[in-house]
Amino acid sequence: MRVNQDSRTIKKGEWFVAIKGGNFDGHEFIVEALKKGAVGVLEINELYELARRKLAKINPKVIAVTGSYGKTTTKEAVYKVLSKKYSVLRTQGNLNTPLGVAMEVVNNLKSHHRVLVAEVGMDRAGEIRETCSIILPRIAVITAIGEMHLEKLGTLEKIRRAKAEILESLPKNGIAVLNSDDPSVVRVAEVFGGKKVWYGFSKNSQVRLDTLPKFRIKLLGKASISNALAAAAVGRVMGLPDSGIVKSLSGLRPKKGRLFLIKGRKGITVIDDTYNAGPRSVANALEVLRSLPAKRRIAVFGDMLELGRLEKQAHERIVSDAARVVDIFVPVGERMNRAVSKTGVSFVPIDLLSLEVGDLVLVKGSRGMRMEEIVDDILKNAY
Amino acid sequence: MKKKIAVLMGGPSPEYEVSLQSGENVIRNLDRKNFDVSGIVINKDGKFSIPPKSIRKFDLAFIAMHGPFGEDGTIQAILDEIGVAYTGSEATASRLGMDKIASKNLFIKEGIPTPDFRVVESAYGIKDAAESFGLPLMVKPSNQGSSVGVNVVRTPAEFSKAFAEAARFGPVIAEKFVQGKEIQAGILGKNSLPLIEIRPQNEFFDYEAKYTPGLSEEITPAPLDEKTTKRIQQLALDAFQILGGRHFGRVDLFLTEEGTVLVSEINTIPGLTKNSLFPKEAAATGITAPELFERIIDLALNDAR
Repeated sequence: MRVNQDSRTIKKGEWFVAIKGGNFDGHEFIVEALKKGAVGVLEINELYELARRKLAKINPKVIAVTGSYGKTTTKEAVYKVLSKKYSVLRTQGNLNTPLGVAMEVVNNLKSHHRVLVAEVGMDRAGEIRETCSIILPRIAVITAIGEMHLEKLGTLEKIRRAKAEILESLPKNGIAVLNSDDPSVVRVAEVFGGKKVWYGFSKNSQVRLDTLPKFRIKLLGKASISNALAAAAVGRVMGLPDSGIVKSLSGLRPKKGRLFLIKGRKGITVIDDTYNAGPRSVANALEVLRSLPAKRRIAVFGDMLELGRLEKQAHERIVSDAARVVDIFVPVGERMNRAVSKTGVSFVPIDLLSLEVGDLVLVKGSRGMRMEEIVDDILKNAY
Repeated sequence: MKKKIAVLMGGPSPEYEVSLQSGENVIRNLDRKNFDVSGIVINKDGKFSIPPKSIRKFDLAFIAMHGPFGEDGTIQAILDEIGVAYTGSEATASRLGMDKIASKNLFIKEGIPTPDFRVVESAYGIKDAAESFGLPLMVKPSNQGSSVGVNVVRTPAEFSKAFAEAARFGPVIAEKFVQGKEIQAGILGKNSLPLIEIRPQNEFFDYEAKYTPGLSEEITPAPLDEKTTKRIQQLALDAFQILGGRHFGRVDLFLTEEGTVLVSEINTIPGLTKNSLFPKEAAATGITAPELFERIIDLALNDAR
């Protein structure tokens, strides 16, 4: 059976899932869905139950990936690594809510699947526990615990607690795959009594670059390498040989919006990192900007949203970090503009930017800032 | 239509850091409803972060730079060449203002009283000056602002060190030490702002005290009778006009115990940081920082028309 929660796209033969959202109620669209050929209506709990039953029947090994940064990249890397040996289903894109994950299971899990890799998001406390209660993961990966979501969840401590939900959801013989470079992850892991596999750059992790055969990775940035190491750790746990793991990792390709390098016309290169932005991912992107050759380095930074109390401080920090890397800073949005006067960095408003041959331009900002439009404009030679 | 303002800051000068702070203060206080603001840092090697020619795209360059390069006519000549209007004095007046020898000679020629001085080429020159003017003496480089490289010498043992410190920056002058009050007069447009009296904790008002709150005591307005105030303000305006200054500036003066007023020097781009005296002088007449910078911009845009 197939399910769909969107009455606009529902097709003949699908079940309509009626959900109550923030400012809409799916129940109002039941008639429309049925008119379009939906075979019946499911409440959300019934959907979850369907997903549970299907998982129990097919019984794939479930791997949950969560973290404030790098979930999607890590999930894709884990998928790539495990696909060498197993038939793997992964959740699509960043559909990482309980609803998204359950729909993926109901619609796409087939009897031949041996592994399910699920990205588990966290927009509110309890969300991870809810998703895990459906999929019952055996392996949990925590990539990072950062400042993202501060506005929604409050303090960093609350985020830590929310992320700990994923470890609390593991069975006794479950395995936690953890980023040893993130102090918050290290703290969260203290509550977990089961087996832990650490990955990262620090000496005390079991899975480090120097424990793997040499390989080339086509992704930019230290964070991408960290994500690849997470996938390598899962690969080892799942019994894949190191040679196969690194072969898969070298096949990873960057995705649009995530440190995605684009050669524009007129010898201008754009690093499209417009998918999202938080203090740590901005620092990571700046490091990439610094490391690549360029005649001039330019950062076009949009506001970072959802930072709550840390907002002002975080923006000022980013601008002063950028001042050490860039030739020109282009603030987009009220928060970046307010922060920019704080430091001795050259800056111009976006409409006064004029690009030249040899420029390397990093474009980044929170999802809500729609910075990808600026990438498009740059590629159309608008600046 | 919003005016496009490029705030220039930094530059190859001992006052690089202060210039960044001045730039920051200007940028922070410009109302974005009226202006499209850009910040252009010129690095310590004099390299622009954008091609200098592209400054032409702006309606005005706000020069928030102090000392050599930014205040001595260099950047002004570059901007003249590019063909963009800028705030503050033009190249010639800037050059004169920064060159203490030239400006003091001009004051003497035009009858503006200034402390006696002579150009010295070695520690021996200081000895000669001491014989003429007595001790203590002010020893300073002729081409710096903000008390950079300035020393008060009171014994012959200090001559060599004081000369060496000043000579690092260029030609050196020895100036008669004036016993009296240090007064500063801010100039905005055609007017003198309320006077400030400086009572330094240190011997005199040095670079450190100038930019560290609490190291000197400033009294605004200076506690002087109206007649003396007017006299000092008029002399400050005269000196500024004779130099050829425009838009804004700051004249440093002495009021001796006998009541004589002497012009010490003219800063064509006084500090614009939030701790600087020039914005404080303006504040004393009720001109807030945003208003002050906007007035300077208006003066410059009017001249450009």
